[in-house]
Amino acid sequence: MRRTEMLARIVIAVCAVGVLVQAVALWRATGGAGFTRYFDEARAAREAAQEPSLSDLFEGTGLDDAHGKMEAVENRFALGLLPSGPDKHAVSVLTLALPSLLALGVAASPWGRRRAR
Amino acid sequence: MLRPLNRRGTIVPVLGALVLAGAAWAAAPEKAARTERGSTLVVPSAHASMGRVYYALPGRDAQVTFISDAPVEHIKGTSNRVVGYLVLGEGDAVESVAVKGGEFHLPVASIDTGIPLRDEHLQEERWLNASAHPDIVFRVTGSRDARLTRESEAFSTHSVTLLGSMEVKGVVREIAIPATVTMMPESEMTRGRAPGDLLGVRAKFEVLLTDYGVVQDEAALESSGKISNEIVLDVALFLATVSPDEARRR
Repeated sequence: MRRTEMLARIVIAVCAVGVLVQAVALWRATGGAGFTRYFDEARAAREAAQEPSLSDLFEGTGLDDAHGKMEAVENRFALGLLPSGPDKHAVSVLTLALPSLLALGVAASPWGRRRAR
Repeated sequence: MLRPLNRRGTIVPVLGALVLAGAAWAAAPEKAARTERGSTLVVPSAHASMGRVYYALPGRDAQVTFISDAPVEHIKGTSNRVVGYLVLGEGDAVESVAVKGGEFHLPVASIDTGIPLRDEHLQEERWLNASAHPDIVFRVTGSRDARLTRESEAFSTHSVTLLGSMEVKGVVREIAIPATVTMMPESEMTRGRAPGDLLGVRAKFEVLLTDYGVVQDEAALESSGKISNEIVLDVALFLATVSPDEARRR
């Protein structure tokens, strides 16, 4: 294999691994979700417009003693392992990893080396 | 030539149809209707005469959260559109926390999991079938084991077991749920936030999707790793003796 071709394969492999590593890092940093989700502006607007909560009136009454505060459904971006839809929700670790793995495979394959000889 | 139906040929299918109709009626009793404004339910006179009626106050706090803990995903869905009422007895401290009846409707279309496509899937026939069964219905028939746990001039809190049934996708199952109930008479502090005497109800319990026919093949569900057959329901309802319809008129 010529030197330039070897160099190209190395660059492709490094880039592919770089994309993979960053995808996994972003997945972990945004909560390790199974499916990708985004900040929902409409939901945020609905929550801002709704009447004030009553839960603070009941603090100290023992109402939450047995089960604690109710878990909230977070309204924020999270990169998921898997896509959750066809649009922007298609972005996920899987859809980022597939092209990278393909590029790695091409970089590592013996195809083309034989033609150079 | 047409042969006339013999008696056995007529009676057995008719009896069978009657049994099936009766079973269907027993499986899914009639739901209380919504008021004209739709912000609460019409309380049947039989319930209204049993004691004090407290109306759920939708649209503020998260009222019900569903949690599915599977290997691939921890799914949370929440709704703050629960409407309904609870009837408590009138009398001394213990009697006043005795639950006499109640009904709550949770619109399936109001469940928010944070992912719009997943919310749509939940409403499909394959899952909760919202077009045929738009509401998850909780019917409360009574309570037992009420015990005072905390008290002051402004409130009283009891632990209690609520008895009743839950209807999902047309399937009704009896349930008995340990709960915490806090009664808070109207005061200067509460009047500005919601009129009437207030009631807080907090409970947490598990249901199985297979029990309600939402899932038929538990093994396949578990192997997918995306949704658990066991769903935890976390309930936090705030109610008042003044209905949401009446509160809007004031």
